[in-house]
Amino acid sequence: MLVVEVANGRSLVWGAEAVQALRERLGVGGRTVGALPRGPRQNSRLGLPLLLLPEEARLLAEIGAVTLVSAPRPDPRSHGLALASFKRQQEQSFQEQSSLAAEARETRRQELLEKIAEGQAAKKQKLEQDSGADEGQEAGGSEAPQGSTPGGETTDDGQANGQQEEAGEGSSSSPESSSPPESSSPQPGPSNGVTPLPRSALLIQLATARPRPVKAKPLDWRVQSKDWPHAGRPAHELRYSIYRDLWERGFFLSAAGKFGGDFLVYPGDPLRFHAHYIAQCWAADDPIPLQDLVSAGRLGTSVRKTLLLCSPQPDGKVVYTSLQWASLQ
Amino acid sequence: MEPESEPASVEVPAGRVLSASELRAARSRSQKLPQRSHGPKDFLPDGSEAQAERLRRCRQELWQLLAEERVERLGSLVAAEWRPEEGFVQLTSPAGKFWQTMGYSEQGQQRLHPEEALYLLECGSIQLFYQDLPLSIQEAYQLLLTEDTLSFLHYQVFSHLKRLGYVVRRFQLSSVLSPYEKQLNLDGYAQCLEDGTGKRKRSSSCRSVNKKAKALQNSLPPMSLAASSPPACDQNNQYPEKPQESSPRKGSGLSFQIQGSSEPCPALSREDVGCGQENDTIQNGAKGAPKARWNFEQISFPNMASDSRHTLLPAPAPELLPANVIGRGTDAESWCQKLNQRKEKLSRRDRDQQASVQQFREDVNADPEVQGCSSWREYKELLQRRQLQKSQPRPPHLWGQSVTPLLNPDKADSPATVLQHISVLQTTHLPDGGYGFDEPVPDLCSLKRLTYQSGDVPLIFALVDHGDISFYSFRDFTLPRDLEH
Repeated sequence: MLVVEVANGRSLVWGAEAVQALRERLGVGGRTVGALPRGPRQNSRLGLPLLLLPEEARLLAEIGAVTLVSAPRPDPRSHGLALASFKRQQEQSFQEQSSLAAEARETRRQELLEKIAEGQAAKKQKLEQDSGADEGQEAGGSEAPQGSTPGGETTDDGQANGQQEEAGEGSSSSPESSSPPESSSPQPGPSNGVTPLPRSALLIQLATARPRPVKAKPLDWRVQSKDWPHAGRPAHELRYSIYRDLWERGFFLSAAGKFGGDFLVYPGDPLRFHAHYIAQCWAADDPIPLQDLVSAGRLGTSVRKTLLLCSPQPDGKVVYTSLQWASLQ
Repeated sequence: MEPESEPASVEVPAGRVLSASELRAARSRSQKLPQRSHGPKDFLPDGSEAQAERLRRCRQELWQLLAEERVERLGSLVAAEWRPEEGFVQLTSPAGKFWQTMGYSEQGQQRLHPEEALYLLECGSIQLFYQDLPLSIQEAYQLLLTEDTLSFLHYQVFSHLKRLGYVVRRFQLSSVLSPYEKQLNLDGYAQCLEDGTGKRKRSSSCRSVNKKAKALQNSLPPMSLAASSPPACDQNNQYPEKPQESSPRKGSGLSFQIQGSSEPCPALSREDVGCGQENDTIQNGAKGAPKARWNFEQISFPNMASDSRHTLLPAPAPELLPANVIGRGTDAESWCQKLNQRKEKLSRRDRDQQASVQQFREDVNADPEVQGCSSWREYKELLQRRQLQKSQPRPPHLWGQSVTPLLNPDKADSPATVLQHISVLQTTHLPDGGYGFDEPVPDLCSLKRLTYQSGDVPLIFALVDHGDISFYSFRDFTLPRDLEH
């Protein structure tokens, strides 16, 4: 059962799986309004939270797919527990990361050993071919890989490049090492276990959603409250009846403020389809000023969408009228 | 499925917590943003496999993007603490690069506004603590965005503008220079701030965006003024001076007023130097911070400048008035609000027209006859002589006395010059509260009033519709006028 928190009339979804379920299974899209973790300084793609239209939230609650709850306030009683568990979790994460880092170091050294061994074997062959004119040079060169690998290890923690750099270093320095293999295979230095991970290299997750479960009060969308001011408002009821009807026919709907309408109607997922209609909701006995008709019609034509005037009838059905701007020549 | 009336019975599941191995794996994930819809969109769903495959791929990428969590090294995070009763966020470790454009210093502490802190949290630059517990983004939204301090709508627009690269600051009255201060050359320091992200090219013109409702305002463009001529103090200035010239704008929102015709304006050179370079004269984030500034609107100086901004005009002393005229004090403030205080932007043609008409209007001091008058009495006689010659008689009781109207009816050729002679006080009330989409759009009257009061800073309205933000501004258009009025 999906839970959606509502605060001040705004419904926000904070879980990626919930967003996926809503869109794929139920055809309710919403709009992402937060920063995307991968690219927080651009506006073309936004991330969680997902903002739902009031009509969307109400529909989901009506069909029973989602439970609406009032956004829970932080509870001072559970604060001590939460603090203690956070500290424990942090410490545990630190230990795990240290050991993982140590393991990674170890595996890297193993790989490098093989590479070094290979390189040394190749060099030895080469040496035997050119009878040792540059032995002095090689002896000097043998210090380089031993000096660089321990130095490289302690600084690469927590940095993604470190692994590539080190591998690069290992591979580039191995051809140079030509000292006798016996002295280089038992590597001196901090190979014995755990150089502890420096505290500053600890990786932290900045959680998007609340990382601990909490209890919340269910929200009744039939009743007007501070968190749900829409109940009973005629504008909301009007829009909702249109929304529900179009949704049941299989369309995908989103907000259309930029197009001067109430909803944009898509034949499928907006990711792959353009909107076909701009839906404007009018109450059954509301007179429509002619200027509004003209401006809406012109706007619809200029953005290549059909204007849809929607009106719920007293018997519950919704009547649609589409407008197309035609020129009389 | 019926919601119960008992409190707090629904369990809200927790968000994802990454394990240590997942944290380490997150370091090497791709940084590229995939395209939204791969290729052109289809027209109608036709149930084909190809369409379904494309849709599936787009969706898959979307879920992957949304599911990623922010992972940062502890050493690169700045620790900050939320203080709800004071309404700001205090930094507990030294600030990073963001300090150049965000935050302010007070009482030896580095502080951030709640919207800045929330934005930085979403960017992954800070770790926000509340009672020693780090806040998730969801909790931070709940705690920091309350209706009375900073609403969700405000934060949406703020973050939208920040992500576009603007430097956005709260609107402060003290940071808007009044024309009086400009005349006094109090705006001598260059206050240009570079645009937000490093990817942005440094443009030579800084944009200023004025938001409604006392929420946020972009930094002002540089206002350097090197003109040194002091404002003319000419208390008996009856006739208008030559209409004050404004230096040509260079994409900045402010114009300069230069008194008199004596000195050319050397301000242009400083303007383009101020913009476009890194500002190293800025103290630690204290640029827009509340500093002690005099509110010149409340201090009433005696009228020493040619365009004084008194509105509280006291009754003149009776001995100065003609016998049959009764003076009374007035408060012109209410009337001033209705005036359009924006500088009129004349097109090139208008300027040429005005210049050509100008040659028919003479400066009274350039008249050799006036210069020949050695005393006030002689000048008055000269005037009377001229009056008789002119076809249009002026009421002698107005013009023949020592106190004359400030404004000559046929000398006023544009609202701009009218304002320069009449006391105009800039009030700075802004309507309370932002406007959501459900609320009625503010009427034209208050819109115009806001626009007038913002002076030369362009006013832009942000309309937020369920997460979609669009910006609107009203352009002024002057209808061509008949010169022979």
